[in-house]
Amino acid sequence: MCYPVRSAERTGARIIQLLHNIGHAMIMLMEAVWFSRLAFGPRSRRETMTQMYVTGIKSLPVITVVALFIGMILALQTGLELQRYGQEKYIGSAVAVVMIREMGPFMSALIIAASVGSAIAAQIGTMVVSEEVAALEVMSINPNRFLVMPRLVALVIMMPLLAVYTNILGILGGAVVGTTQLDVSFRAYMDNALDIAHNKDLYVGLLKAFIFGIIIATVACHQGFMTTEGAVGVGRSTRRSVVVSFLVILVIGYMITRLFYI
Amino acid sequence: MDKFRREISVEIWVGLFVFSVLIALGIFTIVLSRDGFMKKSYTYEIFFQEVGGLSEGDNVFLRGLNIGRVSQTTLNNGDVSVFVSLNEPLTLREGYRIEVANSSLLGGKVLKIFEGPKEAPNIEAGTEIRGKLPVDVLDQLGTAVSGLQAMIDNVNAKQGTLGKLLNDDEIYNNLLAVTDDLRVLSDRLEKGEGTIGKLLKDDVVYNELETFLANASTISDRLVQGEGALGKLLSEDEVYDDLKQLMANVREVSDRLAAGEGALGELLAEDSTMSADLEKTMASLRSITESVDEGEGTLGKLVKDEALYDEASRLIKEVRAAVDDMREASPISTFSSVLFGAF
Repeated sequence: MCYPVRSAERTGARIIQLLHNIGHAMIMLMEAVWFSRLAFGPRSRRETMTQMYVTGIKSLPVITVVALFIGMILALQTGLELQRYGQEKYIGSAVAVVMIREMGPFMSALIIAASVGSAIAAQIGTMVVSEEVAALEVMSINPNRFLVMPRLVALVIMMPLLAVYTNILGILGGAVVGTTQLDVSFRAYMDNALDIAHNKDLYVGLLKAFIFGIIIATVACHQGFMTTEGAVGVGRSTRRSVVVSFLVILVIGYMITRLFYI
Repeated sequence: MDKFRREISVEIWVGLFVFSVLIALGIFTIVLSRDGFMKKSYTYEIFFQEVGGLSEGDNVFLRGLNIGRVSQTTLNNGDVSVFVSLNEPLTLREGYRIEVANSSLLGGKVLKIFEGPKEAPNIEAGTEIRGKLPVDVLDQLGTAVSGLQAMIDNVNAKQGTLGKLLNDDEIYNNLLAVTDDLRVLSDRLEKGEGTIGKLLKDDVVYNELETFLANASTISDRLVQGEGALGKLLSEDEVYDDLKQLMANVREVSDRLAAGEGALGELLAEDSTMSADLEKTMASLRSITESVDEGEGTLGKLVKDEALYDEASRLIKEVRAAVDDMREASPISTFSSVLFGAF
């Protein structure tokens, strides 16, 4: 078989595999959504709350630091440029709009994908390679209900909340730089910050965070279930989970922005 | 027991976090909606032919202060209805102006309201409020650039003053000649020639001018202080009033003369009998003086006849001597009459 044919065959196989994976992920997601009505029922409540705790509360320290410094960096960079034109008082507007529309949901999604998503992929991947998932199936326990649904519910609930938390801390971080480095009063900073941003920006951002939560849960769980070849496979699944989550978050984030702002 | 406590702790933490963030989200929503939670707002509908990109959420300014926002914009029977939500009630007067303006050079729109002149009456309630057509800065810039381009084309085509100035050698030569003339003029001035040259060079002229200015200053000072007739006229109202009264009297006299009133007026009148009488009198006087001059009559003889003059002169002397005698004899006669009167 000549090289072009082999190359075409390989590409076709990859596309089929990709579609197969997407199909598998979608079926898994639909099942988890179907079972999500039981998320706070007696059998799943504890696991759902634990996942919410892990996703939300355990992530707070890293999200706090990242959000504060993202706001400070944004304020410093835009403030230094605006200072050249004597318009540094408008850094509040720049920081607020960027945080609420994009950076809040996006940065929280990246952090959660890197920390919680990778942990989910590793946990489920380990369960797959150690045949715990198979054991669940033997016991007629649906892995999608038992493993995916609590994580999906936890992520779609906590992601928008974390995005709001990131927005607030980012804006406050910008205020710290504005008042200490650029001589912009806190009142002027906040007036400008809240003058340009609208409720639409806030809620489109929350919608993004909600969708990012679905993406992270779906990709992480799917990568976990697709794990093969023992410990090496777990590592590969973890890495793939983070990479695929980032890419999908970027693409979907652009599409949502395109949908609501053009 | 520990497991139970841990589960409760997890739930408390999650619940606290969710509750806190939801409160923050609620506050965020209220703040970003810019509608005061308990604050009263006043809504007005303003009609525009065109709004030039004004959109919901844009600021509304009154006398430079932000008093609210545009809450809605809708098409309405060939117009655009702009609903504004204001923090303060709006009172518009006749001559009011509402216009869409650029919020900055980078874009964005604001609605500016000018209530109208303070002394103007308020517009009637229910009157349709209309806004002005917005000014499109880019359109104006395009027009300006077109005009500039046309000007450059004219200059290139050697048209107009600037075109000729830049392209025509004759004007350059004229300019050169003018420059030469100016140089000659400046040389003459430098040498102190001519009136202006002397003024620039000669100290005498300067000193005289200085003296003249000093005098003028003195005069003006005196005028200011009300000294002299002219100063009094300028500073004292009384003098002015007197002058005014005098002018009024003169006017009255002239009016009376013109009307032929009084002796002088009658004399000046064209159909005056007095004038005729005066002419006759003058003729008689002329006749009398002519007779006297010719020595006719007693007065003429008295004037012309020297013998009569001498006779009269002697007579006067004799009369004076008789009077003197009587004055000298008067005390004796008086004494005698008193003495003899006693007896």
